[in-house]
Amino acid sequence: MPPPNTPEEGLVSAPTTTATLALRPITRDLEMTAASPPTAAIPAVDLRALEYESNVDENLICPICRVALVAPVITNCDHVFCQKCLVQAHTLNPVCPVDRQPLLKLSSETRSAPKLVTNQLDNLTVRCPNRMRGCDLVVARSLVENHVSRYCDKTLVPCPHPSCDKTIARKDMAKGCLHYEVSCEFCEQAVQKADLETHQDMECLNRKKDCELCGAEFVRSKQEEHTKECPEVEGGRPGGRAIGRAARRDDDAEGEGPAERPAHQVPREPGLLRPAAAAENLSNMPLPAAATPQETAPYESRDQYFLSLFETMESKVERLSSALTEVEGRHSMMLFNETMPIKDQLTEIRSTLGVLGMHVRWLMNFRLQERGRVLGSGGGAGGANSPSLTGAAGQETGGGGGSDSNLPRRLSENMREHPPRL
Amino acid sequence: MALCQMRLQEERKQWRKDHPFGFWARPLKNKDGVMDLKVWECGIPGKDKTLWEGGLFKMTMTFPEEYPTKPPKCKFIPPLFHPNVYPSGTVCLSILNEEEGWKPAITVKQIALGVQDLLDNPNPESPAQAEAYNLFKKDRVEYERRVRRVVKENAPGS
Repeated sequence: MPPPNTPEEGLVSAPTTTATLALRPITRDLEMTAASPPTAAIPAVDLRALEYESNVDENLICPICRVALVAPVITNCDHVFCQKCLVQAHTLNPVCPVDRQPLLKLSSETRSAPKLVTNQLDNLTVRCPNRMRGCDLVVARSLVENHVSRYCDKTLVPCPHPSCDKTIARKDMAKGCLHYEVSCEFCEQAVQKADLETHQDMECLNRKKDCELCGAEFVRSKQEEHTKECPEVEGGRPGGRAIGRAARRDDDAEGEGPAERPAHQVPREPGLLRPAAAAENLSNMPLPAAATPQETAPYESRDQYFLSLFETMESKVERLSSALTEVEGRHSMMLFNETMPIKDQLTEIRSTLGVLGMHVRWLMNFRLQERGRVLGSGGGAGGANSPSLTGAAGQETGGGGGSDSNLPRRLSENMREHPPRL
Repeated sequence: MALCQMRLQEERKQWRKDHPFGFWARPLKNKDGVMDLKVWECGIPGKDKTLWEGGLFKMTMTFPEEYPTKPPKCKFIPPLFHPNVYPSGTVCLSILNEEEGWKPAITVKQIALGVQDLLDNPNPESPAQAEAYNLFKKDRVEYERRVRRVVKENAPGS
């Protein structure tokens, strides 16, 4: 997109330069209502219908029409209005529309606004009014009329055919009269050849489009269903597709990360416009070369088309892979976060278990020792009671007592070697 | 008249860009589903911490051909119980009166806010309906009771 004030001589197509002065460009209808009659008497551009590129300073807005001033005049009470607005307001009520001071005669009580104001207004940047037809130029307001009436190849001009009274975009002038009906290959509706491209890009019900609000893609005939489920739709009137909304979407796009950027930008570059659109509708449209054979190709060759297709695919794949890596990272992080507390708990349980085991062992030992002592004393008493018996027998009982008291000790040793598994 | 349409389009753009909390306003659709910028429907919420809190009152703004030189006509539907609302529902407010306070510079947003302000600050100097005015003047308790009932009837979601 050339910066404002760029000389546009490069855009002039040679055969039309001389003719353009006489041609009447048609002003853009604001809401895209297709059936607005061509208004011939109005100058090339209606400055009030322009879409401003940035927010206009409140001080440069006419209090009557609420858009940037056009041909500003200032009253003796120092209020500035568009000349046209003030005249209209004055015929109904001869007072200043702001402070209601009487304005008896406009000619004596107003003068044109200071140069400073007009200069500021001239420097406001606006979008080309042919934006709906694909011209993306942003230019200073003072130059836009010149651009539209002379250079913009999307301006509508009278059909070159002498007996045809319709209008046609300037870029198609050389193709002769395109006002015959052809049928759209997607929806089989009869449309004029001149409107075919616009029809396919903007209206055809069997082609896909992106939602202006949420960015999701759907076939145009499903618009209503999508509107119902679109997460971004305003409670108000969904069909009220104002320019403001489109502009807001642009702003949104600017705020998005670099990964999102290329996807939005590709279709906007005029040269790539058709291929990108074709890629979107690949399911409907196997080969654009086959689909639009006799139109002058919007891209010079098949190779170029496939290259551009490849490019879009590549950028899509890139985006996908970066998204994948991100998801992967997030997953491992989540896993890690979840396993960490489990590990901690395990260690804690293990230490508790150790302590418990220790307690059990001590208790057992204590018990066994008690029993051993009881048994030992019983054996000793038996020995003492029958000293006259054979020593062998005494030794036997003593040995028996000894082995008896040994048994549990071995058990406890067993316990120590093989602690019970809980 | 182009000026009227142009201005209304601009108003709509501005409203969509920014409007006070709790309010809504949108142009009406006529029979064919085409937007008619000259008739707007809007919702005026009662101000918080006033008698009118919790109500959402439906109003239409009808813009004359001479707008913005002439003010729009604001009408509550159904007519509202309020000293400055005519039995037909039309709002009597100085900034909406061509002879008094109307200026082309007043925006839809300012009108909406002005009407909201009027709800709790009725102007006894210009009564428009006998019932509400008399109660407001003579029996404030009954007046407030009636207002509360109106608010309850107009609570959003009821």
